[in-house]
Amino acid sequence: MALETYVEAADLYLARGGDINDRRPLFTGDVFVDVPVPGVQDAGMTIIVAHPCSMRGSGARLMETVLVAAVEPHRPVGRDAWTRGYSDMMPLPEAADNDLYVGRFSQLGMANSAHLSTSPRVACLSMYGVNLLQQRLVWHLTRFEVPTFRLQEAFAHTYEEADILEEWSDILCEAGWVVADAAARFEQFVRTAGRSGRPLQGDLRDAQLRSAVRTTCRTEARRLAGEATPGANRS
Amino acid sequence: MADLLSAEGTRTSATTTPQVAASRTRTIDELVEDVGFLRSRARLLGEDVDETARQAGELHHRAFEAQLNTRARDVARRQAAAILEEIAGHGFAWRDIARLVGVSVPAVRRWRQGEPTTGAHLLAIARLLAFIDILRTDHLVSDVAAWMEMPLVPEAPLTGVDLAEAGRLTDLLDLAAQHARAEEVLDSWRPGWRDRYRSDFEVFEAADGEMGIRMVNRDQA
Repeated sequence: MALETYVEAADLYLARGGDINDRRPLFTGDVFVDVPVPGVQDAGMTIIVAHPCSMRGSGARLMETVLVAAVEPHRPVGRDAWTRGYSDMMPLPEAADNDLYVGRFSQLGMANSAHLSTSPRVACLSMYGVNLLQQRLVWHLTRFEVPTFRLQEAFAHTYEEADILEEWSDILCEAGWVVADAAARFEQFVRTAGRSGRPLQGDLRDAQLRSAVRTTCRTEARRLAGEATPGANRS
Repeated sequence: MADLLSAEGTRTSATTTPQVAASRTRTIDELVEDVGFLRSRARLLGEDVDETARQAGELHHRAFEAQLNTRARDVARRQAAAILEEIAGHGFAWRDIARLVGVSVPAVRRWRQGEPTTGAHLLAIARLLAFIDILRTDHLVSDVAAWMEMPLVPEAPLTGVDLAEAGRLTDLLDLAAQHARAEEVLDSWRPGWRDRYRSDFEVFEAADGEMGIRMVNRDQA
C-alpha cells in the first residue's frame, strides 16, 4: 500500500472562498486566512489538524486551543508524487487560488480557538480530504499507514454531525436565531434518544441510521424555527 | 439411442421423456455415450437459459431507463428547490445529493436558495427523485437513503451511493429487484475489489466511548 492521492483538486474540498457557509462549525481540515500560532507564526494561513473528537470539550464547545499546522505556498508537485514522498505535508492544491499550498506537519502548534473563530476560512476539506489529511499526519508522526477507507469508517459520523449542524444552523438562523444559540440547542437535541434507544449522536455511527437522524433533526429544526414566540434564543 | 438422437431442431427442445426400456442390455460403451450426450444437452440448455437471462436483463435495463426518463420529465415540471427538498426529506445528506447530481455542495445550496439551474441539472435532480420513487414504490425499499448508504458487502466500503454516482443505476435496480448479488455487481464494476479493500485494520469502540482503529487480532478472529 502507498499513501493515497487525489484525482482532481476539487475532490479535496467541500467548499472554497465565497462558497463556504459561515454557519458551518469549525472542523478538521478548515483552512484559515490569518491565524497566529505561538511558536510557529505570528500570522498566516493555517489548517486545523486536530481530530474532530479532540478539538471540542463539554457541550461541544471548542477547546481553548486547537492543534493546527502552518499553511504555505509551494512549488508545483505532481499529483502522483504525493504517494511517494512529501510526507511532512498535506497537499492543498488551489486552496486559495490556482497555486499549490501545503499544510506543514513540521510546523504544528496550538492556535487560540478565538482566533480561529474570527478568522475567515479559505477552504473546508471534504470528507475525503479530511481522511487524506489524517492518513498523511499519522504517517508523518508514526510511519503507520492507515487506509483512508478505514478512517472514513471510523470517523464519518463526526463529519456527518458537522453537516447536520450546518443545516440546523441555516434553518434556525434564517428564523432569527444566532449561531451560538442554535449550536447549543443542537447539542442538547442530539443527546436525546434516537431510533436505537441511544442518543441521536450515537446513531450517527451506524450508516443505516444516519438518514433517520438527518430527518429527525431537520424536522426539529423546522419546528423550532416555526415557533411563534421569540424567546431568549432569538437574536 | 434413437430416442436421444431425435432432437427437434433447437438445442433446448430436449424432453425429459423416460427412455423406453432397453430391449437388450446396453454395453458400457453405449451407456457412456448416452450419458455424455445427456450432459451435452444439459450444458446447451444452460447456455440457452443464460443467454435468455442476459437478453431479458438488457431489455429490463432499457425499459427501466425509459421509465426513469419518463418519470423524471414529469418531476422536472417542478422547481429545483422543491425537488431537492423532497429528496432531502427522504433522509439524504446534501453531500450525497451533490455527488449524485454531479455538482458541488455549494451549488446545491445555491439552488435550494432559489438560484436557477441549467436544464441538464434540473433533469439530473429530477432523475434522482424519480429513481428514489421507483425504488420505494416498485421495489419496496422503505428507506432508500439508508439502503444506499449501507456498504454493498461487509468486506468493502463501497455503497449504493458510490454505484449511483458512477452512473450505474441499473446495477442498483438489479440489487433492489434481487436480480443480482452485490458481489456480482462489484466484480463487474470494480474487478479486484476484494484485494483492494483487504485490510489488517478494524474499527472498534474504544474505552472512552469514541471510535478507534486497530490491527485485527488474528488470534481472536
